[in-house]
Amino acid sequence: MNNSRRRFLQIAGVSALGLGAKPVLNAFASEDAKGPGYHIAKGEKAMTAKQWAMVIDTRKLQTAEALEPIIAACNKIHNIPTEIENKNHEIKWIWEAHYHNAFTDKTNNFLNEDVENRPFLLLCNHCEDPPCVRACPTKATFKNDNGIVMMDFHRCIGCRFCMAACPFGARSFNFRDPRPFIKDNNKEFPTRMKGVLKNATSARSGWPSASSPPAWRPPTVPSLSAICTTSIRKCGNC
Amino acid sequence: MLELAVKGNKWYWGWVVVLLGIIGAGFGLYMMQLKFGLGITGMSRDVSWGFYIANFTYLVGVAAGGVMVVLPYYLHNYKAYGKITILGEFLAIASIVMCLLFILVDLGQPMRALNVLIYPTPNSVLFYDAIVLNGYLFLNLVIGWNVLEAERNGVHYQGWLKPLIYVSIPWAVSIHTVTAYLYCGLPGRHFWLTAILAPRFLASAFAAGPSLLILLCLFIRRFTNFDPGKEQIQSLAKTVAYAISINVFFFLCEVFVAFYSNIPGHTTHIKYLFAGLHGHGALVPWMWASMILMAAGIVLTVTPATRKNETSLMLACMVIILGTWIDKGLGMISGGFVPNPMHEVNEYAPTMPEIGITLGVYAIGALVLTVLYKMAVGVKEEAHS
Repeated sequence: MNNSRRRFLQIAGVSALGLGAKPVLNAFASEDAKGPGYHIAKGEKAMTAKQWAMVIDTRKLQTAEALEPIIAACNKIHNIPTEIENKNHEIKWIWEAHYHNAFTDKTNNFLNEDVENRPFLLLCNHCEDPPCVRACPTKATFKNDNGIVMMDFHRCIGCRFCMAACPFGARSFNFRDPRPFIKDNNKEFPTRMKGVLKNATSARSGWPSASSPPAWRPPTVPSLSAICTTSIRKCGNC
Repeated sequence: MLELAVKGNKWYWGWVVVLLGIIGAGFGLYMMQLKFGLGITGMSRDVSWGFYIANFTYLVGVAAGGVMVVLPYYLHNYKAYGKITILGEFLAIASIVMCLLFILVDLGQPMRALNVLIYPTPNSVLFYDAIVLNGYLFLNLVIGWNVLEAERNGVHYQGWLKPLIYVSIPWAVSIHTVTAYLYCGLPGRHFWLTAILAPRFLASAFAAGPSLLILLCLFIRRFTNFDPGKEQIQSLAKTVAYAISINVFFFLCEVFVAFYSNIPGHTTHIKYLFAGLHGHGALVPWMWASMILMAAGIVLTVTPATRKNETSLMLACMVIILGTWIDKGLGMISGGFVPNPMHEVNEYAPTMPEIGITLGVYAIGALVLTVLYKMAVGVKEEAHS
């Protein structure tokens, strides 16, 4: 009796191990390694590209005041909690930086003063080979077919490996529930919960009807490029 | 064998109750963290891993350190260690349990932890870390338990255990190598971006793990009827002497490369840790204390007189545990994040709830270790009486 029960437990243990190993083996076996249930719906008028890119004409943004409306628009569209006071909990999608911080390896004593003192916008670079995607253990951060780095915050386990991996400090983590700190909630765009990561994924709302990530549809509100009526930001395929 | 762990004197039960109290308090704080989010810790956008991951890293080392008794016994047939391999294996089990718990309490969405299995991602080092840590836990449980049971029954352990034992030796090296790869493959973090990180982790592991084992052996001899043996303790002490010397040597290699090349990305973190940067230097006294402690550890373990005297050896083990813990637990993780990739300095210090949760995890590890060692010592006492 005792013996057969032990035997049963042994078999149950080995079976559980086998079941646990199955998705792991699948991951190595399948060519499309995006994980089960991965699906991207294309918008009707979706434009396609191999790698979307965005250029910012910094000559037209000489002062911090000039950056403000751009930052404010991004924050508003994407429900960024701007009212968080504790600096440790700060969420940043697009922010202003000094030349020395934006281009750490390109400083010298004889810089063009105009360039050196100009404020620069920092945001996710949507790298061609993104370290955050490489580090993510659940494919919650992934690169879509258009080259945009995206984030599925419903899959994210909050390990923050992507934050350590990003060489541009572009990732933020919801150290607390961000919702009470969002000024005007944009109903066209999802809010996040505590304990998940985000990058400036949706600077892509500047892309004309780009394809949407699994969790939500593309916003129809004025995108960043629409707000920047001057030709400061240009998007294109490269 | 578990029945051996439920028979104990009042000191044993008193200790268990104390640990349960700490675990309870830690659990309460963890409930707070679960409700509010990781914002109750001192972590931030810049220092996104803190005390939990640092202690995780340290304990992976302690777990790997157990191999320093397993390897000489099984590969070199060093018979003396036969008496204490079980102590090394059970220490590894308790350490890995703590490691896994530290990962769990560090997750922003712990209820989604199994996503790592549901969406396995072979390009993430965390995927391999999950495999090697759980594998090492499994190996040590199976090997430790069966070898101890065989000893209790007065028979040789089962033949099929032998291959598992051989696998467990490189596996111990793998757990700390993969843990180092979590850090040293990240492009923007120059403090970790060094090929010597895994060797350095292993050196510090083989100093800290056996040091703790020596202290545990001395404790067991003092308070139970089982003597792990003078020769065993002395052999372990020699391992510690080599490992701590190599650990400091590796660190000095890092210092040379950083400062002779004078590449800013490499020097800036070491400057932050040992001299402070832009007026921020919370870790400076700690790092110097760590260096002094490790240097003292080298002197005490390399000098034959102080190594052979068990009182000074005990002191040596304590300073080495403390020194390596500061080096890895405080400096290694914070040091990699400060300054951040934009060269901004935002420091990190753990908060009280964060320390409380950490202590709770350590208490769980201590409880697991207490129960396992109670069994092991019980079997040894039976066998030698």
